[in-house]
Amino acid sequence: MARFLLRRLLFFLFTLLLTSILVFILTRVLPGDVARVLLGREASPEAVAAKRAELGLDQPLVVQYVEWLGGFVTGDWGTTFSTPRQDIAGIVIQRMLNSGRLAGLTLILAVPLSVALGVIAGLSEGRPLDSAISILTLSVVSLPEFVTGLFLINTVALKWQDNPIARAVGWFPASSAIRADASFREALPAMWLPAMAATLVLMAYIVRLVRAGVIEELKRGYVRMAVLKGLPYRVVIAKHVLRNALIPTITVIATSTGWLISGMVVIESVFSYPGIGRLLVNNAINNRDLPLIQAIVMVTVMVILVANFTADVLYAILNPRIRLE
Amino acid sequence: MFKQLSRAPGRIARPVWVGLAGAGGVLRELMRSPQSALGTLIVLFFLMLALFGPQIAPYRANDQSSAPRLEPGGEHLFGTDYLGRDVFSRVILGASSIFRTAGFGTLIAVVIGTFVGLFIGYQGGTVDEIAGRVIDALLAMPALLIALVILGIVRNLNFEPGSWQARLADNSVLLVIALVYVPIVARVVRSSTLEIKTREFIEAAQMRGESRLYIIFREIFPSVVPALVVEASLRFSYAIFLVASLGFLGVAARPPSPDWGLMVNENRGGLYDLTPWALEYPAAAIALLVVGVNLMSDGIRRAVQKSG
Repeated sequence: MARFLLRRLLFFLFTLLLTSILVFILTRVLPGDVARVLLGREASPEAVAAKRAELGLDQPLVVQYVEWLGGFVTGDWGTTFSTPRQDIAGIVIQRMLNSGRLAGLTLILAVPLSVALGVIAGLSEGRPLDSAISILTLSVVSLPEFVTGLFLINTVALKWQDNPIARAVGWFPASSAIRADASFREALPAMWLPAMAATLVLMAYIVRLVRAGVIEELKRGYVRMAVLKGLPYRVVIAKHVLRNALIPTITVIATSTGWLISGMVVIESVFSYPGIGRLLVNNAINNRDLPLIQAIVMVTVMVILVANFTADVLYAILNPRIRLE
Repeated sequence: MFKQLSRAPGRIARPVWVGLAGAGGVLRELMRSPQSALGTLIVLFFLMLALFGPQIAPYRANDQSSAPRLEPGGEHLFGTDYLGRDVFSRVILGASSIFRTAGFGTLIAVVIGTFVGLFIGYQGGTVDEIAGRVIDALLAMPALLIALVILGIVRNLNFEPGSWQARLADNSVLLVIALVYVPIVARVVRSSTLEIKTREFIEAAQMRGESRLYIIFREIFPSVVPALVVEASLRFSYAIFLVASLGFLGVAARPPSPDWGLMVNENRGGLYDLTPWALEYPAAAIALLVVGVNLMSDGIRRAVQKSG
């Protein structure tokens, strides 16, 4: 198992390195002259040259890359290009935590619900109940996140607005534009709706995989054996089928982080929720804030890789065959 | 003597047309199931809109001669948006851009990905090991995130009109779709290739002294086609999804073009008042098209599995 984990760890570092090169190329080479971008079209050549020197852009690309990566690794992520010039590490981590809260709430809602639906669908394969669940998940998976999100706003939020109970509780506001430094208690009412939108996205994905896992396990020889030796159906399902069918699910949930993050980017934009996705779209991309883009992409990829690595570890723990490899 | 051997009867090579002849069978299989038939019809319907949109649409995309925010009905079947543009016409005219970007983007990704996958899969060894790791590493980044960052940076660059950079930038959405899907297609083709190259007919071809290109394209490629068709249809549905999301986030099409995602964003009441119908119809069009493509690609997968 140690060898397996070591191999995964090496891959983790390799991916991070490759990502950093890609991010560097995207943000330093693709936009052309960064100094010109910063100062605008009318700036004098001298001013541009001075800015280039100030930012270290007059050095060879390799030197710039090594300096940038060194700064990133040691926690110096620089300040934003756009004014007010803020410390990037601070806002990125704050927004990341906000997104993490939303993702956590989503998982709490999505995982039990979708595992239950997936198991039900798998156990009743081919029957109307299975078809109903399959059609439901297929249609939800077909809707882009912004459509689901706007649908929730237009139905749930706007309908609830005039309801006295809803107003008293404060749940389901149409916009989740809370302060970025809001505490969990303050943020929670505004988080339900975006979490529901993200749940729908994630749910469709997990349901399909759980269903496939259950159907596959049901066909195995040991299941027939258990039935033939007279075990009650209940026991066969609970002790044999589910145990095996749900192992891959745990890792699937961890590896769907990337999926969840792209969903979050859109959902946060729909609901104006102050997470990392909204920071990327509204602040980094709209203001062409290149250092901010760099930091956000690097942190996001890091989160995805940590999740994938956790999935590998969990898989190794749950599946003895990997451990012995 | 070896030359003679290669012309010996009983060659096991599978000519290209064997793989392609399967396409007719797949299409027939597709029409047999009501779900995939429905999906195919939906896709064909939107394809018609994409091809003949300008002839069908009653108004031009940016005709602002009507009052803004008219409710659906009468002159304007789907109402008018915040600028008084006919929503019905804009939904029809929006079909072509989504087919162009998602369709051609997927096509380019499939072609390049197939080449890359075939070569690294057949080469094997160190090349395959390294390329495989690079592909896995690239796939750690969500497609939406890469596309968003690239488009966000490119869209603000000002190139001289008519220059090659400007032409690239005009097609940036299409190119980005192709870029993010190349590694995914390559991985699928690579794993198929790895499996197929151990078969006996490949060994036979190597013994006959066939060239590498011959083996890759005449022997391996036809066997990869089924997996490739399934992957291509799946990619196409994700591409539509991605283009719509990028449009909504404001980095794909520029106003005033009739892009569905952009229309949803413009009418949802950020800068201007919320115009529900001007948002609902393009959103419904996106959803319907994605459902159609999903049903169709499910059908293609089943049909290919059956015939393969």
